[in-house]
Amino acid sequence: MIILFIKSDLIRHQSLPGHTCPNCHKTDGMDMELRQRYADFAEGKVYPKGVFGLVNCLHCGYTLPASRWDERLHRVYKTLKTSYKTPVSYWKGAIIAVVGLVVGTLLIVGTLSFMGQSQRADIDRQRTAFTTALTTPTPGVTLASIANGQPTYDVWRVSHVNGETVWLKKYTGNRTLTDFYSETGWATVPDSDFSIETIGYSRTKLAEKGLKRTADMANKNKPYDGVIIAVLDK
Amino acid sequence: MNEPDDYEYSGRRSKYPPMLQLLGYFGLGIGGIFMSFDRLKELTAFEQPIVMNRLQPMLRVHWVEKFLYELGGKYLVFGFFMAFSLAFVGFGVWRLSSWLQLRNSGY
Repeated sequence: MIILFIKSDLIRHQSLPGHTCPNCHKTDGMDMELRQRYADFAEGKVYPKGVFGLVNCLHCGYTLPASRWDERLHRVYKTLKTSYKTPVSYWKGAIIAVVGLVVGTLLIVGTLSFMGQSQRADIDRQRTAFTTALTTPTPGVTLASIANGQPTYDVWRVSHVNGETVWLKKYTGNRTLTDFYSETGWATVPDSDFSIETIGYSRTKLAEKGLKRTADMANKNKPYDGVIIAVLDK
Repeated sequence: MNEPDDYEYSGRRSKYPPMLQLLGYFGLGIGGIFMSFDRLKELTAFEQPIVMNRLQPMLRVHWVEKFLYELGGKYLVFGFFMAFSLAFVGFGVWRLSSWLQLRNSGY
C-alpha cells in the first residue's frame, strides 16, 4: 500500500524485575522497550523520527503512561538508549528519493541538451551550406530571395560568374514557392523555366546576402533589389 | 481521547502536558473568541456608524464573513466564529483533562 505512515521498530528491550504493574500487581512482568520511530512509505523506511520508550506489563498488556515514569525508569531508559545510534538504513527512502531526483534531472537535462546539440548541428550545417553557396556561387545553384515589402519569394538560378559579377536568371514558370524551408524539387526545375536574359549582381554583396546590381554599385543610396534567404538545392 | 503519544516516553519532558497541542487549541480558541467579539463590534459600527461615532464604514471583510452576514446578519457571523472558537477551547480542555486523568489514574 503506497501510503505514508509513522511506524516504530523495537530496537531492544529489558525486563524490570523490581517494578510492580499498577494494573495486575505482579512484580515480574514489567518490560521496557526502546523503539525507533520512522516514516514509512510503500513498505519502506524513509527517514527516522526519534527514539522513545514504552513500559508494558507482559502479564496483562498494560502500558504505563509516560507521565507516570519515575526516576528509576528514566535511568533504565537512559542506559538502554546509550550506545544506540540510528542506523543509516532508516534513511534509505530519503537517499533513494534524493538520488532519484538527481539522476532524473540529469537524464532529462542530458536528453534535452543532446537533442539540442543535434538540432544545433543541423542548423550549423544549413548555415554553412548557405554561406558556401553565396561566397562561391556555382552555375546551376537555385536561390530564393525576398524583395522589399513584397510577400512572395523570387527564385533565381546562377547562370555564370564573371569576375566581380554573378549573373542570375529569374524564374518565370508557374510554380509558386510557398515555403522555402521545407519545399523540395526546385533544384530540378529545368533551365527553360528561367528567363533567357541574365542580370549581373555584385558578387561581394551576394556574399553578404544582398542583391545589388553591378551597374548600381556606384550609387551608394540605391537600396538592394532583394535579400537572399535560402538555397533551394535540396 | 487517549493519545498514543501519552504512552511514549522520550525523556523527562514526557512528564509535562503536551504544551504545543494545548497552546494550539487554547490559542486558536481564545483568539477566535476575541475575534468574534471584535467582528461583532465592527459589524455594529458598520450598521450604526453615527451611534458608534464611526465616520467610515468597515472596509475589509472576508468572503466567508460577508456570506454569513448577508445570510443572517451580524449575530450569525458572531455565532459561527464563536462556535468554532468554543469547539477549539473544548478540544483543549478535553486534551488536558484526558492527559491529567491518565497521569493521575491509580492503576
